[in-house]
Amino acid sequence: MKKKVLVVDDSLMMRAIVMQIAASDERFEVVGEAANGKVALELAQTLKPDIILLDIEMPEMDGIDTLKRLMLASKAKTIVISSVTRVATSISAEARRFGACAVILKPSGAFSLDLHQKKGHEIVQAMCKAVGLPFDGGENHDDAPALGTASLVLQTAHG
Amino acid sequence: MVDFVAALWREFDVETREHLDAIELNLLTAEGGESIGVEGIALLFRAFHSVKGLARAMDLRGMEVVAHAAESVLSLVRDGTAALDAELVTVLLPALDSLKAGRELALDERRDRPAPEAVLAELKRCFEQLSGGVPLPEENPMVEPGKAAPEPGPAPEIAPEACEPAREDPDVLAYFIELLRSALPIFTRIVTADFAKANIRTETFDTIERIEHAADTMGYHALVNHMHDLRAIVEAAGERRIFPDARKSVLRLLGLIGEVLKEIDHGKNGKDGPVAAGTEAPSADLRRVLGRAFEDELRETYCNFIQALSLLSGESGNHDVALDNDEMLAEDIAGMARLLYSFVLFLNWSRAGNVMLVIEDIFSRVADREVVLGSETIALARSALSTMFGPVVDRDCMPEHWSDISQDVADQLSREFRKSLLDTLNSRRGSLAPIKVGQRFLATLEIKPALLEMLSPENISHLMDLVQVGHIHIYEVLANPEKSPEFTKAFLAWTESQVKPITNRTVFIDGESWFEFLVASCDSPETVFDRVAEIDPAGSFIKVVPCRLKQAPKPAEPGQTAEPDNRTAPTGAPSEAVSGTTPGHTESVMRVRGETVDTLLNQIGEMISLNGALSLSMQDSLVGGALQSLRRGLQMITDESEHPEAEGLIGVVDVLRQYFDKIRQIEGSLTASLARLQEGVLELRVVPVDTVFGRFPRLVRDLARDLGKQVRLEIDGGGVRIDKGMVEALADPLMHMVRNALDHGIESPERRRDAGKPVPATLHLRAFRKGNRVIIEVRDDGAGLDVAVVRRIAVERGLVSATEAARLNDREVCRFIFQPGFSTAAAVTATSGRGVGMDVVWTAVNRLGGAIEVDSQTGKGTAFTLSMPLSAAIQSALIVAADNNMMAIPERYLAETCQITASEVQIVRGQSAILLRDRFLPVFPLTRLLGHPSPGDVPARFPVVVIEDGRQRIGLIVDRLYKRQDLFVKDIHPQLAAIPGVGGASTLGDGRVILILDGDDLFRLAEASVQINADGVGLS
Repeated sequence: MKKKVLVVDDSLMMRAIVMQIAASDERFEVVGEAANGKVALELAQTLKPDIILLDIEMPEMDGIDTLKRLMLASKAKTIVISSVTRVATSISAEARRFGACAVILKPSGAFSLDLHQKKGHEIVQAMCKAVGLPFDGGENHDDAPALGTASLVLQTAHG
Repeated sequence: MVDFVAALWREFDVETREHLDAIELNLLTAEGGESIGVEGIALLFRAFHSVKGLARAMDLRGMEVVAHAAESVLSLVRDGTAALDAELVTVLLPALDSLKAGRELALDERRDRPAPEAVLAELKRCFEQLSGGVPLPEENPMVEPGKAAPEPGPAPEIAPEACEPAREDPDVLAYFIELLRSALPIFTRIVTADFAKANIRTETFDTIERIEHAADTMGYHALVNHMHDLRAIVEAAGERRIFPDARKSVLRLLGLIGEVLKEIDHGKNGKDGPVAAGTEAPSADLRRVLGRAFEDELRETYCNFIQALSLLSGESGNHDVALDNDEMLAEDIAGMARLLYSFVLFLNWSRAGNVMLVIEDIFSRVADREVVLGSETIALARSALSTMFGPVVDRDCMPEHWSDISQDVADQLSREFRKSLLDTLNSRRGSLAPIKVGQRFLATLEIKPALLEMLSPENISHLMDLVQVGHIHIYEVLANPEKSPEFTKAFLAWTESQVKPITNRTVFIDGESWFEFLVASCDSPETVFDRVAEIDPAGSFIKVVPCRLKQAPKPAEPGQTAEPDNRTAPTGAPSEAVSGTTPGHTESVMRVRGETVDTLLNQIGEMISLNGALSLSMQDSLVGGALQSLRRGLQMITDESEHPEAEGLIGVVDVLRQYFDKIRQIEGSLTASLARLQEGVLELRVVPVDTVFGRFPRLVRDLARDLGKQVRLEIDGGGVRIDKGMVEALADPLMHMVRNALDHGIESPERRRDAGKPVPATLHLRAFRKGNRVIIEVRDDGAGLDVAVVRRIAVERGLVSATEAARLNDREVCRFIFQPGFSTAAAVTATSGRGVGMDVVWTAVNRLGGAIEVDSQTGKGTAFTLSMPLSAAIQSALIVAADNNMMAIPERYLAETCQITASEVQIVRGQSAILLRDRFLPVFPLTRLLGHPSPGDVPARFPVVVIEDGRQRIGLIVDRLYKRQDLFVKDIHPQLAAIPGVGGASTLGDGRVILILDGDDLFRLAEASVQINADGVGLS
């Protein structure tokens, strides 16, 4: 059984990228996408995804509000994908407090066509960890990322 | 992958433009001193933030850095640290411009534009200043320079002890209570007749699971345990209604849940933290709180309930209730009964609860058409309700005085209901129409509700025919017949042999359209599956699910809910809940590429043309006439002598005639439906006028600043929707008019002050719909046109004679500013008027089928009014023939048509002309204007089409006039478009291509031809 993934982002383009990445590992299947928290909440209850990839800045219901509800309404593991940086630490701590199991920076570099090789890995890797699957695609990822590139950020409990 | 990246770029284009436009609008509003509110600021912040994310995704470092800096500055505004004033806007606008430039470069050349140092430095300075010395955070502070990213370890479980537990967050708690509240009515259905329905069962299990998970997350262990118990009870019951003892447990559990809910609510409101509940009966204190919380809702539901009952009994006229409307009403009533039941549970009134269940059950059955109610049952329900809830709805009665009904009353009510229902049933049994039999048959099966909704009475009676033939199976089939030709063939063969489709609908899965069928077959599932495996071995195009029997609630056993022990547990085939397997696409807005819509529109245009051809041949009296002559001939033969064969043939002719009439009928409906389709698709092409208006705030601001003028821009009706092509074509003319207003119309602040006007001038852009046209107004309160000067110049330029000019009113005089020669009149612009390039505006508006009017009052202002058709795609035109070619002349140029004899044509200064209404009208053979050699012999009489554009008027000599017709304008080959005089092409009803002429071109060609004639005259 493939793990079901729900992608939540208000940008169609970001959804397209994230969905492409999520679907790059055949153990995952994107079952739905939502442009805001409200829809996400509905879909989380009807589609029952295993993983939710959630943007943090959205109109209607922002990521943290969504997270607070998802925590109660869905059993899915939620991974926050964000490009919030200034208040990164506090947002991450909030996200963790309300049940997010990882906070990741948004992917970059569609140009270089290496979505899967570089940024994609971080998302897939976090997805694997979240649902307890082995992650085997990390060989060419071990090199330290270049300065300024995105990386998986794990928060300790207090952030 | 390349396609994917190209798609990303397209999306990047669209989304960044949306965000940047929003930023611009909000910044300018804020600069004008208007508050954009918390929402506006949040929107602004989010827009920069989104641009940052989008830029980052496309590796546009320069844009990313700028957007980040701007976002950071705005985050200070969002926090309340800083205010969004004019000064801050002047810092942010260059950032916006740099983002725009970056976007352009990225879209044009797919490369990054480095962030301009000056812009960045200014943003950094601004941030530091506003934040009190804190430097602008680096773009990516999470990864320290030179340090590898932390190794992503396994996500640790939520550690509530580590930080303040999430459950103490007010939002989380509120949502938890909301979840519980919404779950209660669902739980109450466990003990009702509804529970036999598969979808209800599924929903119930889902809800139990959700609440269990939520309670677990919140740490309410007592509630988790309740959920376990509830699930065990429900699971043990299987598909049957709940056993009597289990019912009691469920009721008790529900009461407990209600209490947990209440206590959580209580705890939330400032007392001690959440506590697990376990008490049996709520205390008087608790009841009071509960009552207060639900009093209003309860009262409202009660009133609605009583009202619905009156409606059900009063308006059906006779005593019986059999209308569809009533069934819906009954369903509403059943729903309200459930709601009241859950209130009763809160109050822990078990006896009233039982009565409510009986009422709910009865009305559910009415809604399901199982029973038909007599008026006495309705009356009984009303009195039962007022007995139970009378004190509750009495505003003077305090909640602490509310109480459950006594056991005696409860028994009495149950008995009466049972008796009344039995009476009704005995008198009604067996009178159900066949359709109802069909519906009842289907109701015993598990079928997707969406498919059931598609069933028409014909479908059902067709199905019943099949049922009567023998034992049949019903299947749900999901298929994509268009996947491969082989499959299509096999699938069609299958639907004609093994199965009989009953109904179908289209569903969209991953952007492909699939068909969902309900089919009947005499073959068992095994046989059907074998056959399906043959036609689609991979199983990728088709999916077949047999509709299993569900536990049919037995009709006509009144009172069974009140005394559930009557009910033994018949078991049918074990059934699984068949629920929708396709992920629901809940996106309410779809983004479709413009080309797609245009292609669709073209296709529809073609269909309309084909349909025209069809109409033509149908209206043709050929077939009808031929049939009639045939019949008459045959009749004559039989009249003369006995001729059985001919007599038989008359019958055949009659059949053909009927058939022909039927086709004509269908053709009529088809035409109407196509018209609606076309209308619908045209709607797809519309966009808000804001798409154009949105550009003006910035333009006006910059221009006013450059000119040293103060202008307030007001925009109204930006939401009015017009054709996309029209919006694009209008952008330039509008721009021109706005520029003009600022340049020449609006005075300098000093002059305004001197004139006693408010110093800031107002420029008003307004759009609204009027009939099938869109009116756009550009109005300023500037100096206005000096009509006297305009009049003088018009005479000087020879546009009008002095005497005629004196006759014209102001409005007519103002119209001269649209004349081509007028624009160079420097004197007008220097003194008071305007006029630069207004002829360009005139031409553009005219080309779009619109009209423009100017209204000006000296010293008070000028208003331009554009009246545009809603769509540029359809044009009404007069069809003419010239030199054996069909051509169309757009209606908006048409003045009149007339018939002329050759002798009426005179040569005036070398130009053919006719005298029409005492004025010379130059006439031109249309073919010659278009550059065809003119035919040698001129007929004695010929039609002339007079065209005008408000400035000039000419006659076109043609061979023949046809009718006026709406033409669907199509894109034409550029080479064809380059031919002077040709504006577009369309197809006629019979499929012939027709050229649509361009009026402006025709005037130009006519002018050129006059020139040549004049030269010719001069030479000779």
